[in-house]
Amino acid sequence: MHPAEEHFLNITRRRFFGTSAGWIGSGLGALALSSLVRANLAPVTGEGTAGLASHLPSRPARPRARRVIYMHMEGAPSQIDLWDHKPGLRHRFNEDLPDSIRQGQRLTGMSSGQDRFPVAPSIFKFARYPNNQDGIWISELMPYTAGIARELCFIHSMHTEAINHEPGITFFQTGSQQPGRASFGSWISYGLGSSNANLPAFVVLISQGIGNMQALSARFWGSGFLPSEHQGCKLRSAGDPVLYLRDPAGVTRADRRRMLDLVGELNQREAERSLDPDVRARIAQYEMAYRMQMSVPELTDFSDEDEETLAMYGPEVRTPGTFAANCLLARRLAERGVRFIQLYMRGWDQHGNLPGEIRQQSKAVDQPQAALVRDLRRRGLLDDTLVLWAGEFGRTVYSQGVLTPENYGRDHHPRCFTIWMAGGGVKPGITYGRTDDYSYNILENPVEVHDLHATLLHLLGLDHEKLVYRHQGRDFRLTDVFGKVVPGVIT
Amino acid sequence: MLQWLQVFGRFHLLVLHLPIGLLAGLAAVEFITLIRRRPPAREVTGLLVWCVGVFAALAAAMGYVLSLEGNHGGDVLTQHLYLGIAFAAVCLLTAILHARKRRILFRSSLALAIIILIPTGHLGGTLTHGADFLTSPLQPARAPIPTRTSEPTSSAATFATAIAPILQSRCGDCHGQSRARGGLALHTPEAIITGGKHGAVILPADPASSEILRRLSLPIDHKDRMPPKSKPQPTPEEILAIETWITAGASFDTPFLLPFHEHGALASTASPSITAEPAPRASPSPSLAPPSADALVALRHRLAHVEPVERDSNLLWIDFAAVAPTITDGDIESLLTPINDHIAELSLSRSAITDRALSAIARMPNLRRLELRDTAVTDAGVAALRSHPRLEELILARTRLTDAAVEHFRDIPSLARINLWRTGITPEAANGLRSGRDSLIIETGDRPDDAPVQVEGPITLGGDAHAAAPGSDTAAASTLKPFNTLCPVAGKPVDPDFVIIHRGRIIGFCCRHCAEQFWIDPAKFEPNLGT
Repeated sequence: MHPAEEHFLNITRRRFFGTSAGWIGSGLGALALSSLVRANLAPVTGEGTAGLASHLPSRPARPRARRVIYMHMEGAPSQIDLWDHKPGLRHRFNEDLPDSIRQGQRLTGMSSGQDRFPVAPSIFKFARYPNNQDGIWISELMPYTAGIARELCFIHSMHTEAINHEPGITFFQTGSQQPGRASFGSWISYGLGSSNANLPAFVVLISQGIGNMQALSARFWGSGFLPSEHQGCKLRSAGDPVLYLRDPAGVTRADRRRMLDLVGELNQREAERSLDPDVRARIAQYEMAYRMQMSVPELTDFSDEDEETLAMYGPEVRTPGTFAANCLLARRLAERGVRFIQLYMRGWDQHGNLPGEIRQQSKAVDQPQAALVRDLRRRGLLDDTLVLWAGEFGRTVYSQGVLTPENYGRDHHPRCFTIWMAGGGVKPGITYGRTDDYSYNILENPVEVHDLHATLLHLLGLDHEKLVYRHQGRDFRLTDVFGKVVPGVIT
Repeated sequence: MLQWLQVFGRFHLLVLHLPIGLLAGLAAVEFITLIRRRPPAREVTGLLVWCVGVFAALAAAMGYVLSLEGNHGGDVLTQHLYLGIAFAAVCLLTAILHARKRRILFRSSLALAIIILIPTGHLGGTLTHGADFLTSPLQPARAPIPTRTSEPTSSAATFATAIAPILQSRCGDCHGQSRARGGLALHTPEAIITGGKHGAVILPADPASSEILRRLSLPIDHKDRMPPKSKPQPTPEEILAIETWITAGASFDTPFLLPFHEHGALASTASPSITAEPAPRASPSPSLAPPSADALVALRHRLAHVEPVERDSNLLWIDFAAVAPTITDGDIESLLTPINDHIAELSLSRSAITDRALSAIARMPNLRRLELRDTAVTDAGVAALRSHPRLEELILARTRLTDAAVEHFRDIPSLARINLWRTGITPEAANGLRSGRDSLIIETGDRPDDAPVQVEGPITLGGDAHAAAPGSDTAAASTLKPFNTLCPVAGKPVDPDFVIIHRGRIIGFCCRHCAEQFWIDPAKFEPNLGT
């Protein structure tokens, strides 16, 4: 089915009244009600036929990336302790954050009541690593990642509207702080489809972290108003990756096929009768599940990986559900043509005891994420695979709670933070954007979440202004009415 | 045609009802006469029957004039015309027989008139309201229903498979064999080419000037909109299919490529012009025809992924990732040979192909990227790629190649990037490839982690003066004593509440504004502080 016409199939309020009105009109004669709601029918039938071109996603040029691996650092890692080196702050330890920097900006309720905002410089040592510019300073917390800085494009000037996790992740995933929109991966699934008919186009992998973990709602990978076959498929970290995927004892694959054929026929009839898009999605999902019975066990079986590769991802790679195991799984998914692979690493929300927690948290991700980029590169996959590493916002330069030379905490900071990308047409080995001496405000080249979305879509060969879906009488975009491609990060 | 005559003709729609009603009245009168055996006044029936005859003749004449306008056409019109004339003739005959007092013949003739009237009237109604006008309330609502959820959909199509069914179902009622409103019929290629009374409706390769698309894309309420508001509407997919077909040259037998891919999403779409020139870098043969429909269907059934490499291109990226371990040399021969010219990027990683497939692959003239990671290809196989004219990128990681293969790669002039990780090729041999071409990117394996070029010294926090004691978070800024007495910005006495630590000195200001001024541009005010 052509995506541009899918909205026709939805039982909308207008359509419901429209069909009822037709029935009343012919059954009971000229009711005033009937003519009243009939007036609503015209826009429904008119929708989408005129102005058709605007519904069609367009590919501006040859796509640079064919798939995305998006590592989301849930909880928001501290840019000051990992990537955004501010050596000058060391001399400002425990000074008050100047009002000229703070500028009266919104704070969360967790620290807005503090008497003062003492500057907490990072206590981690930074080192300058070679890249394709004059090097980049990276914290001792990320030694493996620092070692591949030549491959990475750091954006220090990312900023977001949201200041709390739920709206922050929702914004990053769907382009809106309000729940209900389609997630990024769903848009890619809708716009490009899967390039492996035996696996979903959008797969989600979750790793647990250390410390304070916020809830991860399934709607972060939901399809919103897009047909639900585009939602992310979460692979479980323990036991069967997908529940109930195995045929029960005594059921052969042929039995399963016969059963699905019958169910499919019944569903098809129901779809024709009710016009309910979820019935169509269900048909597609049953078929996908049937094919995944064959493809998923092979996918999640690491026995064909050699020792050297496993060692590269680190000691935790053999434990399902760890970030290391999920990074390796992500590479295997990329090899098999899955379009959008989303990894979540939980536990970066370090309001207190940051130095201790961030050490463990960084240790869990550093080696695997660097291994993933290297593994993609040596297999010739990095050219058309776009890797993105981002949290939902940054953390404050001032200490939340008690500041000592050994310990501090940091509150949420949406006004600037650091993300990095690699492969897929992104300029390797550069830093983009600059923050002030306190890593509090952006000095040059700000990049907003919508800009990042527009850029990623562009690299995938999609125009963010043309990739739309009509819902509730208007066209929705991932970037809403915002977003511009950032040419500075594209080769 | 004279305008008044046109008006006369159009009165057909009014006048035609008179003989129908009068004939019904006449029949009722005769019927009552039969039952009650008491004939009515002869003048009454006489008047009625002459009215029937005259009005029927008048309606037939008007109808004939109306038919000359050319708004209708087709078999239905012809049949309606002949039946209408016959009806008028029989009605006149009935009147004459009545005048001659031939009672039996009169009644027979009257019955015959009624029998002719029924199909005539029905055909007339069909002309104006459509064939399904009467029965449409009984039929379930027409809605576009997906029929391709389990079967992979082909994006390749022909007029017969993709366009004719749309024209038949969406336009056929009014523009078909039986009716041809506006003189336009769309049921045969000849009729489509001929067009309607306003001329051609389709201009090959020129969708913008094709009347059929203009009508299809008008707002639903526009008077020229087709199909009109009251009729079932085509889906956007169907309109796009027609547009694509016209853009591709509106051929009735050559296949063309629909811009939808198997899961319904769009592979390449902005403007679905299939014959448009492919991108310069990738277009060795600008006149490359669309790939064969059958070949694409076969690939889809084998669960291969097919996608145009970019917008408006007939060059394809083909990826066998979904079924790689089952792909053999035979598949390459049978699936890919028919579209040799169209393959620009081919992903065969993890497949079961051997050297034999490479000779088939070497015959793909436009191939520029080839992925063979994790396959059983050997030196003998890649020899086939020697002097390939356009190959730019070769991914050969984890194959059994040895140094002997390097010579073959040297003869590929366009080679820009080659991945040889985990092959038997030694780094020295691989680097030998580079001689003479500086831009060639050779990946032979892991680059070791980069070491830092500069490391921070030991970290000391703050000055001893204001390092907070552990556990204390109350070191207020006002305890810092400024070293100056006059504000460097305004020259007024310092207020110790406004201080900035700058270059190791605690600088006082007279007010917040001055402190901010200093913060923005310390160099400007620093001289005022002395040393």
